[in-house]
Amino acid sequence: MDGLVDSLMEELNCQVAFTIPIFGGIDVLESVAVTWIIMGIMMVATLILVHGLKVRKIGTKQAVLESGFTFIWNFFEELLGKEGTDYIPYLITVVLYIGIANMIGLLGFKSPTKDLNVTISLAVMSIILVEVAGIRKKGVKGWIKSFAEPIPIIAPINVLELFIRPLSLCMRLFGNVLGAVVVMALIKYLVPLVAPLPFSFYFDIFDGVIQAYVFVFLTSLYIKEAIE
Amino acid sequence: MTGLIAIGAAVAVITGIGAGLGIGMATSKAVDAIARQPEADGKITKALLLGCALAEATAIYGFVIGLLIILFLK
Amino acid sequence: MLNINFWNIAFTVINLLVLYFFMRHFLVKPMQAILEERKQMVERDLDDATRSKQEAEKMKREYEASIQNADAEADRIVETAKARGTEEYNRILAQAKTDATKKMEEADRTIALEREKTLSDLRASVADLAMVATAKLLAEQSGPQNDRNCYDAFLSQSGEKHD
Repeated sequence: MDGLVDSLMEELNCQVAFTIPIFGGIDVLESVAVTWIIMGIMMVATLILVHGLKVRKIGTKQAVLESGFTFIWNFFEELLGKEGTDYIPYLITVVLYIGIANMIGLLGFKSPTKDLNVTISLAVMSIILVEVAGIRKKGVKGWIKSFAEPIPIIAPINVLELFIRPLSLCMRLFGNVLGAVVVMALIKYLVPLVAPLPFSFYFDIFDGVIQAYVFVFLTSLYIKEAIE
Repeated sequence: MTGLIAIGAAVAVITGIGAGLGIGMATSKAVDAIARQPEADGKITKALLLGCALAEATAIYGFVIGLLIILFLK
Repeated sequence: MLNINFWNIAFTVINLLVLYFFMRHFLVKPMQAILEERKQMVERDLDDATRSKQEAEKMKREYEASIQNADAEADRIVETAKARGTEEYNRILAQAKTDATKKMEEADRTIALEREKTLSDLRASVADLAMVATAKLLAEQSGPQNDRNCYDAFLSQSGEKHD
């Protein structure tokens, strides 16, 4: 039993990757290092795919890229409406990042979303984006007044929602990934042979993609509500 | 003390019942809708998956709280 | 597990912002540019195609109108040609007739003239003959038998001539 607890604790804890020797030693956790790796993958893939774009006589690679891009773009435009197209690049970035971050377990790295810091930063950025969208659309006065809609009595609940939404986003993502990690650790401890494989597929691919989709969908829903 | 911790963690995870019931009912209604109108199954599936992920969140909150109770209360 | 470290949050936020700007500059902007350009090109091509089709329709109508005119024109030309042909034919016929009558008249006149000439020649030869006969008669100085012989001789010679 101790072996199980030990392996579990090891999986759950975030280890320090390296230390920056300024300000009295800042610990850089491994999640930041894996995030760098993910950024590297995404940047290289983008540069390779965008390399030779043409207008006529496009090759297969460009056709696939264009069809995927148009599909995602139309999907977001349907959610956000015509006025929200400014925010679509951020949502595309986030969905790709979370998707790859959840699936990086297949490659053997530790997923960065297992770290509470990453999910907190994602949620905080999302909520700042939503409020900025609201302020840009309505102006500061209109944004403050929108807290009193539809009835002024609900104003405290609206203000509270300002903090509850990012918390729920963050905990949802973190909890899903944590649950996946715990179950995987249990299975690996008990049946270390073939059984982890399908579960790993289910948790990493299916669950990861759905969680990324839900995160981005909720953010765009909030943006739509703020833009009205 | 460990007994109380264990009971606390168990109570925290009872929230899983709500998620199970809710998702079960949602899925049954979704299957009914698909049976009634098979060509709308793309939209129905999307809405179902979204609803399931959102409903599962409450169960996940309970699970996380249970885990925190086990790990951090000595 | 709950190692909430402010610096890590800051690092992650910086990472995400860098990633966002990179993706927006290298993926979203070029894709949008290409899609927009293609949409413009397709619209331009469609406009050109509609305009060409309209022009083609207009030209076709013009050609049909001018073809109809051409048919009417052709008919008219044929009519004029036929009329002129008949007129020419009639004219030539009339001219030929007049020419023929004139030639016949001329021939008649020539024949008459010839006859006159022959007659006058005949008269002259008759006169010569008479003179020869007279001379012969005078030379012979014979009686009435000679006269009768002379007359017979003269008549038979005249008859020969007439024959």
